[in-house]
Amino acid sequence: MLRYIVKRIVQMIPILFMISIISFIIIQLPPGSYLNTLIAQMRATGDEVDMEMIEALRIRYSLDKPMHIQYFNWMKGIITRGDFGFSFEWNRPVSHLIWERLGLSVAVSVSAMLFSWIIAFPIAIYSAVRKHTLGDYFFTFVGFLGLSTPNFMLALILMFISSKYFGFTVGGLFSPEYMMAPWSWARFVDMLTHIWIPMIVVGTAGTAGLIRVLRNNLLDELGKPYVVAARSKGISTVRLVFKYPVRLALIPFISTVGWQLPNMVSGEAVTATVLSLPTAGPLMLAALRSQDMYLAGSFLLLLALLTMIGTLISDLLLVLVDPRIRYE
Amino acid sequence: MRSYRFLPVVLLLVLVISATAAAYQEAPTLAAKVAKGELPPVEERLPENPLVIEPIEEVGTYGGLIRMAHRGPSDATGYYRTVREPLVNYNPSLTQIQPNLAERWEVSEDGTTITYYLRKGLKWSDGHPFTTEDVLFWWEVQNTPEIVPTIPGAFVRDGVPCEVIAIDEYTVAFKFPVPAAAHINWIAAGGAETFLPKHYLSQFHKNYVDEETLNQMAKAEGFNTWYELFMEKAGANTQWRAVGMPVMDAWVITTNFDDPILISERNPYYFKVDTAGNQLPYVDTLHRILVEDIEVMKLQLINGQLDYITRHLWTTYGDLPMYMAYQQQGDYRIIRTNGGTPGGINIMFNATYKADPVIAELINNIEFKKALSYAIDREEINNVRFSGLGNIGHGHFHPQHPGYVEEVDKAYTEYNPELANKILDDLGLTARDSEGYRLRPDGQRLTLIIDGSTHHLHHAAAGELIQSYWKDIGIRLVVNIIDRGLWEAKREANEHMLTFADLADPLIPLEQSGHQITYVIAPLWEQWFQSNGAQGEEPPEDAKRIMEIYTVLAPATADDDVRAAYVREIAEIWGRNLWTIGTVGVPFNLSFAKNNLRNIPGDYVGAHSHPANPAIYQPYQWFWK
Amino acid sequence: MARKKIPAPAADTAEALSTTEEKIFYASQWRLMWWKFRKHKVAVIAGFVIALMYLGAIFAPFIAPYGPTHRDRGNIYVPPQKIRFWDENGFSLRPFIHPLKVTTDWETFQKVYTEDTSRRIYIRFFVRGKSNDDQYKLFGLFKSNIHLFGVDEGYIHLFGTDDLGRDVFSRVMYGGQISMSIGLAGVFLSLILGLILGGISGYYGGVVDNIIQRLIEVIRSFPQIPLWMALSAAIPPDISPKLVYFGITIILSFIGWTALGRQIRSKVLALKNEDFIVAARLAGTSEPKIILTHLIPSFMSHVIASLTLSIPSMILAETSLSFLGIGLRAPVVSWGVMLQQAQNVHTISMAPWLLIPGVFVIIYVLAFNFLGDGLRDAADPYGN
Repeated sequence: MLRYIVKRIVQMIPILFMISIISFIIIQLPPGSYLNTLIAQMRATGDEVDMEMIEALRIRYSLDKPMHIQYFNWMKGIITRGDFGFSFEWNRPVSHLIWERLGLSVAVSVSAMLFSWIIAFPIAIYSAVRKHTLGDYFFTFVGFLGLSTPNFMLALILMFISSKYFGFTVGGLFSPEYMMAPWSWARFVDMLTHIWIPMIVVGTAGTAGLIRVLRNNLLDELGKPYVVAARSKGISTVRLVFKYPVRLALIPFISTVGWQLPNMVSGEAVTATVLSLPTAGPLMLAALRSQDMYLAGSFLLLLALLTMIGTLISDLLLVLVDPRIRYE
Repeated sequence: MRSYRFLPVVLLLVLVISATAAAYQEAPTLAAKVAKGELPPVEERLPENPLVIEPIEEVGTYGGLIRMAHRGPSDATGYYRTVREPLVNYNPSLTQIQPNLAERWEVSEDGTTITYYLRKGLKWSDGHPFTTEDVLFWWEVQNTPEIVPTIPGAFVRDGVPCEVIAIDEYTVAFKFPVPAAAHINWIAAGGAETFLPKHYLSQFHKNYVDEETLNQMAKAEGFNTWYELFMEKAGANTQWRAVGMPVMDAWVITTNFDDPILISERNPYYFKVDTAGNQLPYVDTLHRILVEDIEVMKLQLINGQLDYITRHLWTTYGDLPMYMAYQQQGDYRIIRTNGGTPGGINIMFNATYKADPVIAELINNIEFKKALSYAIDREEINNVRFSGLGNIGHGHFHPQHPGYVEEVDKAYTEYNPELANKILDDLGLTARDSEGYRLRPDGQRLTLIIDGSTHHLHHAAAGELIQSYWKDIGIRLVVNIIDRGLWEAKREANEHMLTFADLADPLIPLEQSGHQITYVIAPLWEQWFQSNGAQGEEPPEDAKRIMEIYTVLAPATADDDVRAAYVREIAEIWGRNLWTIGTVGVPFNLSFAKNNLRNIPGDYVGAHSHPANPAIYQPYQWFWK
Repeated sequence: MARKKIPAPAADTAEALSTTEEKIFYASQWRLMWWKFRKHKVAVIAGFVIALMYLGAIFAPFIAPYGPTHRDRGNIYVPPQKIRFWDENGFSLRPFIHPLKVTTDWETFQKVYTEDTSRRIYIRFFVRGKSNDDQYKLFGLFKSNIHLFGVDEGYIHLFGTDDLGRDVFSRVMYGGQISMSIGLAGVFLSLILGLILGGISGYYGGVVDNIIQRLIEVIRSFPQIPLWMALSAAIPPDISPKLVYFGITIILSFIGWTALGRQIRSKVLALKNEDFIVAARLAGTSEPKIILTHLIPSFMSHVIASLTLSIPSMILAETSLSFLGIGLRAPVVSWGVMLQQAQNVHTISMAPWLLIPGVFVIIYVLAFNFLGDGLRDAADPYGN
């Protein structure tokens, strides 16, 4: 097993390089460069656009150099100095920007993930055991309601309702008076009055999916002879269900659970933008759109790495859960 | 020298005040600090002759917080336009230039030299004296290519930068190679502030400290070079505002632009007082809450979470019914202010379109464009997108502008599809295909493509309407809404056929450089101008004349009548060529203020699209009642 | 599939079979599944709803009183109108609506629509459309301007009108044509890719597995946004938006199969050493046949769950790209496009009826899910 893990980690390096090259090319595939976004921004706000200044910026940002040289310089910085380059839009080193926001991203993602697991597991098991009852249909309906509503809209509607009928403040994770305050019990409580919207918005889509997948996989297991046999021997339903069927029904879920890792960074960028959450997702989205290439490229590298680690974790978990699975 | 007309009054006032009111009052928070010995008394903090501000409604009271919203570092301009303190300033109705940091100024007879006389005893927000040294230092920074790649165009004439000369501690002159009298209008209207705190920033500049040492400092803070550090410390990308850097504004920022709230606290050394001798500002703190989505800003507004907002929502006239319906809940009032978008939805034809010669010929044909213009039902656009408040016309200039020519603005704007059809028939475009679309001379279906941006919500909606109007006269329109950066890249590459105009495109201020205008209607002409005829395509005489007015004639004079005549000439040239056809524009901006936030000037609907909104409405004298 | 379902009747009771039993005994597998499916009431209803929705989509131009771009000029944000059978003047067999009086409140800049209850406008059936915008070609062949219902005077807006004064009901009808067709193609394509590549990866293991899994990682790390931006710049703007959208769904499914692929792989990994698979292998069954007839049916439930789950995301996918300016564009209309245009505070607070297309998406997905459920139960060899 150890050999397998080492082998997988060694394999990551060439793939990471490959991904970095592909990403770098694709980021610059759209016509124009960051400077076009800059010009558009300045024009939209009525600022004067000085073409000579734009030309000078082109040289300063090395945008006049061929792509392979840009790539080489960027890689050299990463490997030799751990320097991920400079964000044009923010005028700051990339490393200053990314880490600041990752913390909150993880907080929101983990809470949404827990929210969706805590809700999804019991409901899925209930729905499978009590198949085709009123409760089953009800949860199915609610789940699909969440799934079929675009996250963007759900966020707006929840914000509208929470502000109009409950008087909560909208936008961000804190009320203004706590935004810049140091951590305290009051600030934590204040966060709880805000975090439920992203939690629900980000959580619902995943919850419905999880319920369906678990329920249907459980149904496959529950009908199998070994379950029928066990039941006829008088083993209680609860014990029975948890002993094997649930474990086996989790297999497809576990096979992709590692991807929650990259999702913590990139997941739900659109929702976070709408909710004005200072997380990493919107930053990455904006960087990709404005072709702020070193910032975008660094994000993509990070995501690639997390995806690969996540896949590995999933593969290892699979073996743990189901001893029938072997990697040769 | 028109600039002097009002000066005696103000000077008199100043003299009266400084003679009689020896005792100035200050905010309670500052008084407490003075009592503790943390601050010098208010008399020592104010300049010798503070600027006295006439209250809009009444003398206010101290305290409180104003909550606004912004979109982070890329929106730093919004903050700048709220707190800006230039050497001289316009009055709220934008009719006069007034003293600000400079108590008076002179423009030389030939219009080449502008001399400013600074107030004596002005202090930066950390108490350090403000002198012409700081202006010279600013000029030094402008001449440091690592920091400012090229000197801003407003300080360059005919390719030669102006000279900045400090005559003494309080007198500084800007000397241009050619007449540039209108430069002061630009400064007052919203152009650059021309000073930086030398005593603070020089410690990060290579002219004052050894470059090696600076680079070491930069490395220690995670930057690669000294100038990256300097730009960070000076806020070079956030309109020269940064935490720790002294300013002359009424408030000083204490958090960063990418923090959840940009907080600014009162500047104890601010140089303005009200008529009762109270040091301004009244309000202790400004908050700018980071909101990335405009819809959320609207929600916050109607939910009463914002005390004042104009930027970002100022042209959302389509949402007026909602703003009205929630006025009670949000406890705000709606104020109309200067600006607006005279050419709100404007269709521009690329005069140097090359990809398709047949289309290129058509979209340069005035008759063809007249037909397109007659086919548009502007009343409907006005009702649907602008709640009926709009101004129908081509929107070259604001209706209040002294250079506005109604006949030119309204020409060919009535809805007359029959006439449009007739014009097209007369042009020989009579053959039609099975779906009723006209055929081009080469037998293909006549298809026009208009580009718009996903950032501008009007583009898609107006595009759908115009598509249906032109379908009625047998012309197929493809509405191509793309990402903002791509939209810009396409224009730059001269690939667009038709395009929607940007908000900044209306041809209002003569303070702006003409390049923005030719750049949009004809990228190849712009290249020709930029390269002095080496590249691009030679523009027609009319375009050259417009450029001459923008770059040479108008900047040279500060005479409003002469400038108005220039504007009329531009409008006539523009109308003659139909480079653009306008639909509907709205002659004012929307702003929203809490009902008990007072001293905000009422509805000012003027000609200028004033860039320094709301600074021009004097936030330092707003107060909570 | 239902191979273990029927117990082999003992020879000595064969003659004593009742007619029902005889029917079951001789019925084919498919027939058995159909019988089981029929018992599943909710699934039958769901199937009926789906059929109805597709009929609605096929005949959309006929059912919709107006064309999708036909504007009731100036009458923007008309709230949904009620169809009535009675009013203060009594009952009428022919349904009618009350005409709307429009006033603009210049205090609030709002259009105020009030029903004029003193007058009735009767709904007529098989009426001619009001303008050329309402003309259509049924099945792309028969040119017509006859609509199922309409009114002689003014307009009828069952679901109200939108920001330009277009009839929301008509747009929902037309929108279904796109939303229920093109997106589905993408769903099936990624299903097939996921099944095949996931199946191969799990079944063969070793190098093949490693290559496919690494490929999945590369695809997952692929920067999509710049890719779409580059495409939106490269695609000529005047080619058919439907074609572009079809292309997008194809690309989306080439990216979207990875999660399903990994899930299938894990299922196959767990099952491939089960007795019945080993038995089949020993019996000399070819490998593709093992995968297709033995492995895949044993996780059919999972496949159906994944299938129904990906439908809403495909319908909404067309909108998730619209902020980049890629996807469907006017005059083509779909539920996703309509929802996208409704995503603002103004709509939610002032014109919530513009969210109606969302109700249709939900009904469609729910019906699909219950239908899939019924099919699964019917196909389940162990179910009872």
